[in-house]
Amino acid sequence: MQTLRMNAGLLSSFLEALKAFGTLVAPVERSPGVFALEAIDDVSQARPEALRTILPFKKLLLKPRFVMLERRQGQYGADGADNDLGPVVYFGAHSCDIHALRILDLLYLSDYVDPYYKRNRDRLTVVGYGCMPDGKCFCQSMDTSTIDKDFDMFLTPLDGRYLVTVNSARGDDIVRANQHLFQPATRRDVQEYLERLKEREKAFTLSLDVTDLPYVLELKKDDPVWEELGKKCLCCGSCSMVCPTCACFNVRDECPEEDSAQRVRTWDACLYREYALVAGGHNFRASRADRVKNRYYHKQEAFVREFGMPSCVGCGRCIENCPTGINVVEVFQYVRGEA
Amino acid sequence: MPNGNDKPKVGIFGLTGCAGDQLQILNCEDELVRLAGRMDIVDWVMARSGNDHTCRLDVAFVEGVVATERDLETLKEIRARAKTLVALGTCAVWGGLPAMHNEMSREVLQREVYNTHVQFLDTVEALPPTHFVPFELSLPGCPIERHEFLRVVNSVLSGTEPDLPRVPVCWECKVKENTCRVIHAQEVCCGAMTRGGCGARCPSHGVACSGCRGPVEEPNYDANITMFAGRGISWLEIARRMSNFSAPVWMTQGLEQEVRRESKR
Repeated sequence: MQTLRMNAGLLSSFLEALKAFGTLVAPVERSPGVFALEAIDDVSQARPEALRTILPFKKLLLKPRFVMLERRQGQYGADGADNDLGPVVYFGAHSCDIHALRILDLLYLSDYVDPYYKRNRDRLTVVGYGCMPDGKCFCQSMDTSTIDKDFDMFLTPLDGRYLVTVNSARGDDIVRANQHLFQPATRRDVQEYLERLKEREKAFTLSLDVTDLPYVLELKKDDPVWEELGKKCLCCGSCSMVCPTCACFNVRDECPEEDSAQRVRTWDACLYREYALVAGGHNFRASRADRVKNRYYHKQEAFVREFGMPSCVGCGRCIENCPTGINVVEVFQYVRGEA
Repeated sequence: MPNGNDKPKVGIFGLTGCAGDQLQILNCEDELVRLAGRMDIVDWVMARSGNDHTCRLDVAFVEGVVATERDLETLKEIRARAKTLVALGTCAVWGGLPAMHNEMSREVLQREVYNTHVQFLDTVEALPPTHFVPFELSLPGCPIERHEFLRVVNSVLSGTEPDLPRVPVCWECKVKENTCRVIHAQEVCCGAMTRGGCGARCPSHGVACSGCRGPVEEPNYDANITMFAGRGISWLEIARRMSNFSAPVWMTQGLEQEVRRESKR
């Protein structure tokens, strides 16, 4: 790890330089206050301080819908080429996003390596950006508010400059190719970084009490709260689409035209009725309440048992995107009988 | 499905409706020529002359609602002729717009619309064909999506069952990263209740979903209504928007399904 500084005025030169390492993707403002990750050419469009994009970075690794296999007029298409996004430089990742990336890596790269994911993952360059929380951020509670690995570079904005953390060989390559942009960090930079850190930790207003949460959930398995939530949930799946760690997918075969067949993989959500539908028309989560409950249990109970940490990073996207106002923090307060 | 050199015999029929779904088939211009080579369209009044109105059909497509006694007879004849019957469009699957005012008597409707008694109307309550006879497949949409129609046809001709997504419009809307019409525009958007497949066309153009593709398998009407009301939208506006497609046939059928599901648990 190496710590440098870069003058704020050099940001656009830095972003131009990043283009040499892949397609530059950064948050851009779609409509006032609404951001999305997009490939950009004009670097002035980048809004790395934006707290959340509608869809998280997972779309840079697995497209919401892609063709896995294809056969057309008797010829097989290139395996998984549809999901090949080439080298991508993801600028504007926050600490929670990078933690989520680690979770996706656990799911897709540990026991059975997902080749579609891996191909894009190997060529993903992650350049983080320090943020200040708003009222929907609760990464502090999920222990994901800071990050010390799994990124290539990380920029923390200080007064008129950035503290630049270099954390991988690829990050080092970027620095070496652009020596003129960086200087060694001074003691004052470090001091200001530490002050900012303290200020940031104080800025959180939302917190989720995770004390003994997996066991609390075990105790509350049959609680009427899940039935109540089932009545409120639209099962629109928005929370899963926007969740940086929701990784479920569906695979279906399609006949788009004569003598052609495609095996298509799409993002899926456990909130959809079809998700747990199996042969014979049986559905092991037929009720809406069961499906809603499953989503929370997966994130905060089952995942903890398997991987030793929850699969929620506290980014607040589900809070921001639920049309009916279901708030994960309130749900767990309710489960604990506190609201 | 094709056995030997016989091309499958296909019929396309319209009951009471705007014929928009049949028009969508005609809009599949390039593909239609190729499809015509793989099947024998023997009965399609809208598009050809010299139709055979009595032969057995391998596949029959039916659009529109049953709004007259004659519609029902036609439907039963088609059913008797067809091996595979496909409901085409939201009218055929759910009742759609013609079923919008089923709660009003036909006499009242006649008076409201024509302001006099007219002889030519012999309408009954508008109901979807799926209400009267069993269908093997259904393809909603107002009108149907061409790509979905082609997938259904190609699957049927290939002897497989078409597997169309059953996710709500919200899936496609989120994937396109549209600004949510409910959250950001406080509109009655029927996306969460409505079956996707249209690519969230309306919300992608900044217009709330009107629900034209009919309901998802388990629409949560109550929660949707509560959500809209909670955002300060008047009951009148909610009812007006939802009654286009979402109610009342949708509503009753959706609720019936719900009750059946509840009793099964």
